[in-house]
Amino acid sequence: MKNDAATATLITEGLAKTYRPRRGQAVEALKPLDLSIEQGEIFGLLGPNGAGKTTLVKLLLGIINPTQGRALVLGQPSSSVQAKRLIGYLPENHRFPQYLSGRQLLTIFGQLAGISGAELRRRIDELLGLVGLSDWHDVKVRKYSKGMLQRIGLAQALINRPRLLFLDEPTDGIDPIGRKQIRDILLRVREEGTTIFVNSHLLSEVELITDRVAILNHGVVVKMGRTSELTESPDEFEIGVSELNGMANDDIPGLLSRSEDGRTLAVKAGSTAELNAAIDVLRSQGILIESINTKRNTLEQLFFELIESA
Amino acid sequence: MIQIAAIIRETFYEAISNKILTVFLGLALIAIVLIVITINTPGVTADIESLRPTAESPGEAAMLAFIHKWEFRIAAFFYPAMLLIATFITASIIPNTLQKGIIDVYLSKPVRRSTLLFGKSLGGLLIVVFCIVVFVLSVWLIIAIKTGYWTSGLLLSMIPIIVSFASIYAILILTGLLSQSSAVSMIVAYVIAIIVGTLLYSRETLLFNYIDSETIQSFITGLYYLMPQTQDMSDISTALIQGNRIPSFWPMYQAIALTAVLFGVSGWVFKRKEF
Repeated sequence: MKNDAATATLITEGLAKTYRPRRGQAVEALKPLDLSIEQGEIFGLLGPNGAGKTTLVKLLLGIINPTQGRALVLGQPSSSVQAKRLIGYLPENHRFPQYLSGRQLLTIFGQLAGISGAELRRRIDELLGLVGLSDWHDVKVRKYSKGMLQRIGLAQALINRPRLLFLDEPTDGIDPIGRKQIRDILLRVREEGTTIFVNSHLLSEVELITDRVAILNHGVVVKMGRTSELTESPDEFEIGVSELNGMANDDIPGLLSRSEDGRTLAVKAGSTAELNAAIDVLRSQGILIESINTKRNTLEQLFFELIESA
Repeated sequence: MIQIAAIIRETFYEAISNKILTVFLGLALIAIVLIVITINTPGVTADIESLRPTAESPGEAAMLAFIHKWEFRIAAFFYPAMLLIATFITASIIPNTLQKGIIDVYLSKPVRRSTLLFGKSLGGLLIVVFCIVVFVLSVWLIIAIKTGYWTSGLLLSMIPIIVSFASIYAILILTGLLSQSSAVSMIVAYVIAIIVGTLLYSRETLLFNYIDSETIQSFITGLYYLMPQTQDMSDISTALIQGNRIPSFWPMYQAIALTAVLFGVSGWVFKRKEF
């Protein structure tokens, strides 16, 4: 924990939120959460609607107050003005003032972030270039497409060179080309050392860019870990073979399935010995082994397993 | 300071985009044109010429009385109209700011909530002040050029009208924060400033004829001191225009205090509000 605190960009300690409506029962939107996000990491927060994702982001930004616990951004309470100097945020379903041009919007939000003069003008030009809107800088936001709106929104979130960037459904409703553009921008921003917190239900998108994910359900983190580890099935392997020479499925130990062309076998092997036994059987039939890989699940498969079992 | 300036500028952009400024200044222009036409009719021109001091009749009193009468008529008609229009066009400023998807962005910036509220409120107030100044200054210039007399009463009469609007605007801000609805805040402001304000102003000549209970009468009087006193402010404007002694400065102090208190309450509400 001490090490986490030293290197973490964002830490939550027992952060929780309960909504207490004037009438009706209290709703525990987020149960006490301990979280630590390292510098330069892309962290994905997943969960079905109503899981508490937006509540968590709003707590982290000080838009709502926690019932208990606290959140720190580089050691500062996340709702403080000091912390917000280090934060950028792109909300879901944002409604930027339609009467502003892209440049005016970035100027206003840049000044709100405390930047002005030549520094702000330079930063705006740089960001317009980064998000590919240099030619649209004087066009009113109302004329922007959904993808352009997301990109200008991303630019406003980056205006203060944030150390921590919160993105709420950044690629929702965007076509595949627009999604790739945003992914590429995020990867570039991460290269500059920015920590990125992505809240999304587009699992395939999250899988492509995140280092770590947490899956939230009913206000509780049901799974958290490195994306690559969570999607890995350590006891399942994919063996690429030249040809099966008419070998029957029952003859291959641990065989789970085979691809339509018969050249990829999914094999369950609880140990290296079991894997080698399967390989030995294949080799004894003169079958050439072309590749062996640990089988990977998609984040979507994991997500559904966890949510359905809850 | 940069942040407040940015918020004010954004409020002006919004006003231009929503045609708030265009409508206000357009109406002001129509009014100014009508005043120019009227003041240049042969009858009025003849009246003005007949009132100019001569060797036989060097006094200026008649001309000043004529100017005061004109300024009073204009103020009596246009000031209440300006208050109504100003309330209408500024009612949406706070509810628009609180919309989901934009308030989140504002609150994610390193800006104190009080600064955000202050900037937005000041922006709206400055828009109205700008429009009032343009209108009154234009009318004052027309009358001064036509008569050759540069009196200060009409210019000074802007102060009570602006202070009066500030207190109504403070109601708009608070109700806008609580209801997040332009329509609700506008209705509340109109009811308080026009209906309640007029009834309370005429409490002794009207309401107390029907209310015998001293307790209720005291309550109504107490309420009068708590609510915006637009009629009394109008009396101050009239006194300033006519160069008369101001009956009481109390409504001015009360309006300033009420504005400050309502703004303080709004700041407290906004600070605690979750979005």
